[in-house]
Amino acid sequence: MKFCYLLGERLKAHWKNHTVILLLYLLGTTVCLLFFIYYYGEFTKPNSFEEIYPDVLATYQADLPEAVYLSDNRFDQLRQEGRLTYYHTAKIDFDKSSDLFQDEAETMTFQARENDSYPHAAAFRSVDFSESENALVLGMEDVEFSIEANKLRAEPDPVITLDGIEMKIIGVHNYAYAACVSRRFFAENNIPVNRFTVTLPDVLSKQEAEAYATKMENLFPGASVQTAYDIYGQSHLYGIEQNRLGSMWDAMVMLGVSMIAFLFLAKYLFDMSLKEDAVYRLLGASKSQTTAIALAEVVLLTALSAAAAILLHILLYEPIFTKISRYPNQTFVPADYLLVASTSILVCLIVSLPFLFILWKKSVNETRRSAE
Amino acid sequence: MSKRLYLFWQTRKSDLLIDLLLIIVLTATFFNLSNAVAQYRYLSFANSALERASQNDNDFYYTELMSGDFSEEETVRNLERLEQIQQIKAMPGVRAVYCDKSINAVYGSQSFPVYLCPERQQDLYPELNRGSWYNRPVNDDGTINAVVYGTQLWNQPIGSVTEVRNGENILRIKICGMIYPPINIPTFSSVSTNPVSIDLFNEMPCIIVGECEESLRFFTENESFQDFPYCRNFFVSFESDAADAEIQAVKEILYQTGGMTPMTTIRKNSEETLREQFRSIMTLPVFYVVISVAAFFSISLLYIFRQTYAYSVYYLAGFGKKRILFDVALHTAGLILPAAILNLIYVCRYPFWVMKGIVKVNSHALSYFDSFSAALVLLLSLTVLMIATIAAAGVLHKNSPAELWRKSQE
Repeated sequence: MKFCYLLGERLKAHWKNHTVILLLYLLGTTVCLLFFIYYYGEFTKPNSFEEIYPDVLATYQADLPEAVYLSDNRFDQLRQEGRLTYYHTAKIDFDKSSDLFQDEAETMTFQARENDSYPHAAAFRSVDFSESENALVLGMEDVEFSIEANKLRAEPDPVITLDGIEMKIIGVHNYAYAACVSRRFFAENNIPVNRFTVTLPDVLSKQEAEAYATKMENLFPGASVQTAYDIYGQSHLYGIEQNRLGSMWDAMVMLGVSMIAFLFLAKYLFDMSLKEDAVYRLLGASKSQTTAIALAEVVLLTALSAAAAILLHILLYEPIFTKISRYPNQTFVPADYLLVASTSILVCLIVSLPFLFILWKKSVNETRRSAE
Repeated sequence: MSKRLYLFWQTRKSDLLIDLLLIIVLTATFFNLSNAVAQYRYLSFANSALERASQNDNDFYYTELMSGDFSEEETVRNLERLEQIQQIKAMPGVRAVYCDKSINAVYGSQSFPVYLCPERQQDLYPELNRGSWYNRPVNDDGTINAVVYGTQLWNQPIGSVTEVRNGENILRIKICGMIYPPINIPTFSSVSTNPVSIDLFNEMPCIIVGECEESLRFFTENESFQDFPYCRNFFVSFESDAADAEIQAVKEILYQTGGMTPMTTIRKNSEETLREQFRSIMTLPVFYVVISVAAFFSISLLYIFRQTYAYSVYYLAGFGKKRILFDVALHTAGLILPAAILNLIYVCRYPFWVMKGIVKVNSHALSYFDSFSAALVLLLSLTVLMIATIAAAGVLHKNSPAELWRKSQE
């Protein structure tokens, strides 16, 4: 109680006699901590698959034991929950196709998406399905591995017959995924789905993802459903976690270095309290007790700065931080702020240790002389 | 004067260590920021150059559809491509076709890429550091004008005549200009079907020669011309008033062989990439500048508070506020000056340090320094000086001589 009283009195004295220095210290450390939160948000928090590739981690892939059709009403439920992509692997009929192939691949996989919402552009001719009723757009991988580009370029109207259906190759898209057809074509020709993926709007935790995969397996009995956690494996996710720890360490070093610039102000405040310390020591206080007051002073002031920085971050997140951030749609939860505040206090304590040690080492006489 | 200097020295000598620390902090901060700005400017150079050269939103980057198999005789196809480029160049509405016409040739004992550059393409290059661009590719003496770029070539005299060799083929060149590294050179060699502007540029030592009959012959008769595909990608720039039909006619031809990325897409992608780069490059240096300026400001005030006793004595002995302020400003300037000078030497002579091998260039973080960089260092120095002096003026202005004395006694 007495300790708290003395601490309060000391802070009051600083406020009364050294307002500018105290304010500058608070302001300086608040700026440091605000940048620390920003850095944490830019480099530590998003250094995970979830933030960098949200689509990948939100995608679930189901391999079906038997063909299912787009009209199957089980897909209706999944359409409500996420974006569906349907795949079909078809047999190539070389006799009824243009002479384009460079190897003996017997099958070709193509896909269809709801609303034909593809992100790609044309790498050759067109990707506009309206050009033909049975339009097929090849993928860059097809051109890389199965189709000869020179022959494709030379052929004015290339066709390919897949599972007996003649399709017109209207172009090549510039993404590294399978060939594409329109959803309408897929439905009208009653093409069976061998495999499909669902991309949910949000990334689920590993447990939630496993539960969702089980739900899909129940919906399609016999299907093998893989989550991104299965595909990318624990070791990959562990590596990401290691990166996060590394960048947190960098952030702490950066905070420590920047805090040193303002600890000269804290040192000035310590020096200004030496007279008071000398009196305490003469009245019987141990040097640990007087150092403890200085320590508590630093902790309290850093906690104040951390609170101010967190408040500023919350207030300025929408107008400023979302505009300068590479990951603007992050959610900062109380645990993030708690981590930031506790780390700041820890770092501040570590960097102020030399100053506190000098204070602790002084004898009563030295303290009295220094105060003069 | 000597008394003033003596007093100045007496006041400051006790804080020499902190002064040294502040000089180091300021030097590092200026260095950090000017480097970050230079890195960003390097990255944005390609975008600015492409924007300068593009006058129509319908301009596009064309990439021929290719597989990895070059089994057929490429010479024929390469010549067809060159012919196609000539055909497009001659079409109404087309302003220029920027294409990667480069071959490796031996100059001295080293091999360098030799780029054929028509006069129109000079717009895309950075300003020359020495000499001037050619108005015509061939000189009266039959030599081809050339601009050289790279650390290995920087000490070549302007006007010197020399030769580059590819097998039996020889091209006599006359060096008319020099570009100091590092900077992006427009190569248009990317095979990306969704490029950003920087993909169309490259950083490598090279010789840029005028495009003429002889340099074209040197290009088409090189040994690799029959094995590798050339001119598969190029940038088509239209006149600002090109008609839709004229643009469509060009697209109709190229549609049959590859894909086109419009300038609007390149611009959008590049702006996104640059925005991202800006955020990742500039965040920490700006943070360090804010922190060090704030720390400098705080420590300047701290000095005044620490020197209150000495100032109050000078003050009462008739040393005016202005003179005290002048002393404070002098001290601050004394801290900023070494930091500014060191940084100015670094940024103004950057290509020299690079070419001498004193500064090792990181190929993942190349920087572009010019007069803007020097101006930035000066501006930053003046800002820090101004902030520190204003802070000191604010403290001194608020206190009378008696108040200063009282404060010094607290």
